[in-house]
Amino acid sequence: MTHPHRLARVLTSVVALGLLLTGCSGAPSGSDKASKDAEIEIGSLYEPGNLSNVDAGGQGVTEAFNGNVYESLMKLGDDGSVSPLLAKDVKVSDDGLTYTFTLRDGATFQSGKKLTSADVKSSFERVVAKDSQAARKSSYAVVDSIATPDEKTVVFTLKERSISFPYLMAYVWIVNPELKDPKTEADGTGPYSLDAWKRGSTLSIVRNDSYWGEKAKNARVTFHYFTDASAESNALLTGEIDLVTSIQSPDSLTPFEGKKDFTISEGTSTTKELLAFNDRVAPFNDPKVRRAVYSAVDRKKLLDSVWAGHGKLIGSMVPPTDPWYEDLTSVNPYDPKLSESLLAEAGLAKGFTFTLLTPNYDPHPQVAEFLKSELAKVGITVDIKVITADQWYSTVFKERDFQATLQEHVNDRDVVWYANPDFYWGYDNAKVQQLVKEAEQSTTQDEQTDKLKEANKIIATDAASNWLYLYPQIVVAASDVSGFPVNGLNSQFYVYNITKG
Amino acid sequence: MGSYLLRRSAFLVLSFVGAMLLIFFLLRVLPGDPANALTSIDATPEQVEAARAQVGSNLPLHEQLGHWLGGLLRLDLGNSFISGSPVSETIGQRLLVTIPLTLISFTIAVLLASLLGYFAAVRANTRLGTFISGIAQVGVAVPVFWIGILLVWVFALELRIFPSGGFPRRDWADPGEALRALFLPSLTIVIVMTASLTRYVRSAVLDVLDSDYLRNAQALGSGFGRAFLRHGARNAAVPVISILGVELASTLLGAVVVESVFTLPGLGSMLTLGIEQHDYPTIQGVLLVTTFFVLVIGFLADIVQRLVDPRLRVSLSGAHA
Repeated sequence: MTHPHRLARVLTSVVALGLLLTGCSGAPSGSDKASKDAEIEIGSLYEPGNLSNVDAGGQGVTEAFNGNVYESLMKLGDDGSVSPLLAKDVKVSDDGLTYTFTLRDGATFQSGKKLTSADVKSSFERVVAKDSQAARKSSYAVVDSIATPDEKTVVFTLKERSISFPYLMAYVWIVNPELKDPKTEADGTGPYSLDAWKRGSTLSIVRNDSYWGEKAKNARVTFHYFTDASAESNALLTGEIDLVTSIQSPDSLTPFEGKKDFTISEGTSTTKELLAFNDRVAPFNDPKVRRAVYSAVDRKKLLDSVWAGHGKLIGSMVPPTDPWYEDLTSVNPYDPKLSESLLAEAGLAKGFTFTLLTPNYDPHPQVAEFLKSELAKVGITVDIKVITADQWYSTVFKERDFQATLQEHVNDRDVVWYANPDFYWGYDNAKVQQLVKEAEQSTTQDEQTDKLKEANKIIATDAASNWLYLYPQIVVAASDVSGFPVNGLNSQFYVYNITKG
Repeated sequence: MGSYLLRRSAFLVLSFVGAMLLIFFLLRVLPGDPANALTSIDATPEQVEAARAQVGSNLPLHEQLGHWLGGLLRLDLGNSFISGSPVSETIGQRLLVTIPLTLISFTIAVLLASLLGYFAAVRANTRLGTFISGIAQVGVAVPVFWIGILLVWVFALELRIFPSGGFPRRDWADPGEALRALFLPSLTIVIVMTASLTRYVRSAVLDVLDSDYLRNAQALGSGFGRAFLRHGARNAAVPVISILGVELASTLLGAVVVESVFTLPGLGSMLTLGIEQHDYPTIQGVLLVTTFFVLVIGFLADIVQRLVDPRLRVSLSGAHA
């Protein structure tokens, strides 16, 4: 049997040669062209379903297009701040019911057409149209009418005060109404225009040289879409891509840690891992039971096991980039003794059993197992039932036929959903509803912030859900690449400042 | 042969229609509403209804079937629920990857397996023969994704000679670049397929080597090589051809795994994504096209087999032509 041995020896030397070669090779080589003409290759796990903002294109379309190809009247910065973008300025009437936006001079669509107030009106109408699948659509119901007194002016009249209206306008892309099929084509006012979308593979955008503002610092950005995180890491390791937008597990991080050829940047995301109860049904209609569950779980240990020390603990729904964030992690501390006494107060001293509907994709199954073992220590038995994303939609979201479930909530400023008693978790608290309503009708942002902080505290104290942790937003890039956004707000990823070399 | 061809063609058409109906109904028996993929987490009930109307999942089954069949008659596979683009166009684009990948791997594997299988049989009792058989056994046992991952590790991550995955943005505009992208995926398939084909070729050749006619030919003075080429090769090819049909079809389908390991935008990844999103037109389109290929390949394999082996022509046509 000499042959297999010989083969093994050959294989070993091939591998050894490989190791030797990588030892010698440097960083993925930068472009030798001037850096303003660099082409940036970006890896992402989120290919858009389509290119439209009103047809459920998913987070991928936001990532690739928001602020890059399409712009809105307002801009949501990477730090969560809201500022005018296509609007030169915004005037609010004293009663807070009329918003007058004056458009910036010189803004044109990539096709060359001049931006006018009529385009803004039609873009808004697309979002609120009957068959629109736009996110946050219901929030726009506050608009009563839109007027376009001249080419440069758009006037929105509201039914009631809405302090978050400018913020909401950061989600309304201004799309050329002459565009035939926004699902497969694009025409916006942003610093890039769509070059080509090769489904299942790449989407590339090229610098728009007639952009109204500061031109992009690179000539082309190509998003490479992966379905498998390790394939994505391999592509970064071999220099086929320059950076990945959002690392989804610490395993994908391992090959880059401690390597000088790569930069690992950790920002804060808006994605929260929730143990969401059906607050309508026993035993979770009792806040004491929800708090007992919360205090029985060592969230720090959970975060360590899922994210190996990355990410952040939160004590409520509000992430740090929302203006009304405060650290509420101590409201429901990890304290099994407290948990047991809360259970006793709720009349469940002997514990109870509940079914946890667990989506079958990461990180939920792992989180479910962890919860099961933690809760067993205080006498609660968790019956884990694994379901598909689709079943989650039907059973939990639509039919509300569940006791508890796990879900990641990705949006910013989504604490206000606790003011909707018809939402899937069914949290119904009149005070919270009142506060959220008042917050929306505030005259100043401070007032809004104060009201939402108060609402958030009530939600936290009630443990309306158990907010297990906040995902980290990790970008890994080749070390010669810089200028990428650090936080992952709503999956947006501004690429115009990225440089290479 | 004529009547066989007719019956075989009728069978082809019938299986295709049967497969079409099966695909349609099986999809609808599965739990889940395709509208779910279109709605966001804060969707209002009106948005959910609009989504159902858009994908037609609010229509009765027979109307959905009618729409689809009507489209098929016009050679229209419909538009993707998600992307809104014509399924046939996307399939066309994806075939630019899957067909070259399948054909390249298949051709190389058939050539390699013929050689290896031949030597494994002729040298059955030598070290070389044992070695080839052994390696083929191992190759069959190892899962295809594992080979893919191993190749990525050695050739992409360590040696850096081939990309770890992906396909050029401009498809075949630069054929060299496209071929480079297909190298490791093809190698993966070649390894697995050669391993399994080698075993078939080996046993087919062994059968022939055992035969009286080959011994007779040699006894009559032909050298072994000449005798094998004239009398043996053709006989050994018959069983192998039917296997080739099956193997080619399974390579096409097996591309799903290889495409996902190497992030190739082929038919396989289109199908898996379609299933994830409940995108009926996409799933139906891909399954229909692959079913079509598989049936046609089977059809051709049967015909070729009959051309190679006159005995089959007579015995199976039912009549003496």
